Amino acid sequence: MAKFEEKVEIKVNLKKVNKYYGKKREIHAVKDLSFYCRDKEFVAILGPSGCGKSSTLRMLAGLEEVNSGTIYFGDKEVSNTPPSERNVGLAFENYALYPHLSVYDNIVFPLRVRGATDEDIKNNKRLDELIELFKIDKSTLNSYPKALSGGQAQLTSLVRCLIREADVYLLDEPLSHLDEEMKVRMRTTLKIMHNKMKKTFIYVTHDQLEAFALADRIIIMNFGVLQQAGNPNDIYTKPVNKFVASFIGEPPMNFLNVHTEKEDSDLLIHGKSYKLPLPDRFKSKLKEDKKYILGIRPERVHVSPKNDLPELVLAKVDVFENLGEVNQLTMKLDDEVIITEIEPHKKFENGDDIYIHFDANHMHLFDADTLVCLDDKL
Amino acid sequence: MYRLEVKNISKSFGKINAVKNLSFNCKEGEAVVLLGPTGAGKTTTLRCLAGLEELDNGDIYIDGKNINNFSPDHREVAMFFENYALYPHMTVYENMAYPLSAPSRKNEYNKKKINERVQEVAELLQISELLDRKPNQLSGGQKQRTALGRTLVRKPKVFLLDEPIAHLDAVLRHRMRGEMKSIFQKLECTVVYVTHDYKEALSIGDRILVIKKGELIQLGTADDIWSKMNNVFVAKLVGDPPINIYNGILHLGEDNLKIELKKQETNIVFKQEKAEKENLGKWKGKEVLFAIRPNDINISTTKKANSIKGTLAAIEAISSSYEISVYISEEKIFKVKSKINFADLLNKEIYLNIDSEKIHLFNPQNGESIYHGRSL
Repeated sequence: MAKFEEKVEIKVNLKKVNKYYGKKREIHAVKDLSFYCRDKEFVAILGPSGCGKSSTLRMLAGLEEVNSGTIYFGDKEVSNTPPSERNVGLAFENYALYPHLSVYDNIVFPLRVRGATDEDIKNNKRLDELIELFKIDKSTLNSYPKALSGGQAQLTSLVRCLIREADVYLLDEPLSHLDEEMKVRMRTTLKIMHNKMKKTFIYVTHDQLEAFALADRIIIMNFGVLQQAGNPNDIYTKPVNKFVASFIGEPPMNFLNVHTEKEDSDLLIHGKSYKLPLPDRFKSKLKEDKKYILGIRPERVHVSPKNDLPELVLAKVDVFENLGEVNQLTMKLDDEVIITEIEPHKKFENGDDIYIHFDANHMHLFDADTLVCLDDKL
Repeated sequence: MYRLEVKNISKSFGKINAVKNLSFNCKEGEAVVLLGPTGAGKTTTLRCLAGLEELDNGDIYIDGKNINNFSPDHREVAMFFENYALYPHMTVYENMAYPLSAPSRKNEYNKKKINERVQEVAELLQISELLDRKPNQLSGGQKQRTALGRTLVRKPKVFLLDEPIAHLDAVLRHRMRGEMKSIFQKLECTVVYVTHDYKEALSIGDRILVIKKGELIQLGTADDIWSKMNNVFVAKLVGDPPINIYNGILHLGEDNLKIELKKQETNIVFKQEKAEKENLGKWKGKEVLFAIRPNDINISTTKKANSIKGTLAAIEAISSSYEISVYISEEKIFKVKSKINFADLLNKEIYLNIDSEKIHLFNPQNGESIYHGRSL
């Protein structure tokens, strides 16, 4: 993650942007969306399919009309500016390569249309670097798009996007057609290129791992609405609602149905067979005799074979998995499931009694109706 | 006696030898996972066991009985495919009961027995309350469990699964992996399970059979495959990010062993006992492949013994940890897995501290293992 000086230029700014589709505007794809990208920042727009992330990117590119609201690039409003005048680099999931041009000619096309001579292209250092880093070999360079695999075509399209000098690079799922191994390698390559190019990147993906790995800041959307914007660490540790909490993390966050009860003037969290003290930071936010959802990340669940600490909760080992680097434990607490990761040398058997300690500092509580996260820190 | 015994089986399609002289066995209640990349021969092996492919050579035994010439429905094996085909017009109950009510089983199961078995399996799979639903009223995970249930009701002697969860989304795949392991254990199923996903293999397999181009490469427990891999192919197949590999030259000292890394100022040195030295003697002064997993490296700004100099090129956040890419030469990247972000050190010079007890050495010619660090 890049560090920023105190005064940082806002490169891209969306203010209350709306997008409708359909004859009667019956589909409200993007709703009052506002967010910004700083100069040189890598921003990922993350969400499930249909969340409005691609529509947003297409509006930034000028390929879709903005129905209401404004988009600024720096100080300049571009809401109605045609794509060619926005100085953006584009790479989309469906590659849009020129079928009559070779891979090489496709890649250098953005240079040629801007008047670069063969000599200029020959001396273009970034071209060599991109071809090398994205592993486009000689034979691929000479072949035509129809001979390429989906993955090769996608990398060609990505390199063609990065070759030109643009203010903002807009990328929509540019690695989606690569096989798993290549996807991870190219993800790192893209991150390295961003560090070298020092430009603003906006990247659309449905893959939380990709967004997390690449982005300085993540914009999470669902049903056309911004859910949360923040750096990966904030999104991971301070999700604003259950959607964000459950969408992020592998293995996912554990959720338990609980309710509150008063005991000697203290509010306690009750599960079926256990009760826990309510951490102070929640005290002003929770009511008595109400249902909540307790959320806790797998790495914040600590386990012990012995009942040797206060406030431990008894559960049973359901599945023990050796995953090499870590071991994973799935436990049954009443009729709910809790997952945790444990060190490789610790082993458990199915059906073993196990005592769980929830790290109170990293416990989340969500309103059972609104699914909003209740935490004074937020 | 083994529940399943596979002896020297081979299968080719025209000029392609899909399975070459493969042997392994499975005790009752044991799960053996076939792990390998696409085209390794995993599915062909499974299809041979199911009787869907005829063997060119070799023998297959179930409970000591040769089943080479048995048709698929007489082998007492059940096969589960990735694309679960549930009958859309039947309820979950009917789908699950179907294999028991097939005409060939008329005498085995009456209505009462069928009902008992379906209820028993449904309870285990936690789909008891869904038995009246049609497949289009089920979520992806519920469909998957129903399909599993349909295979499980028959009490097969061997349960064959081909990438059963590969097409599920990440969250569901994660949950089903654990659930399947738990179901296999509770039902004491004998399982042969095919996957290309190393985490699935390590999790589900009591033993894992690594296969490449139709040949057995390694057969061992999850710990064996992870830390005592017998060649570089297995090392690369297992682990995310993959193991770091670099060329070096091995030097043997009085009581130490030194690896001189090519184009690097530093050497990796570690204490060496006699017995091990004898094994390594023939590698003295020769080129070896040096390997270390990303989680066995620490990053620091100061040089220590056994540290490699590099430039921190990228940081990628992965849930609660970070994957860090470090250029240790112009084109070679080492990956490090860390709980610390190190954002301040981006594009700066840093040192990779190598835990010498966690290194691996391989033969650069044939990829075979030469040495595993002492604490592995």
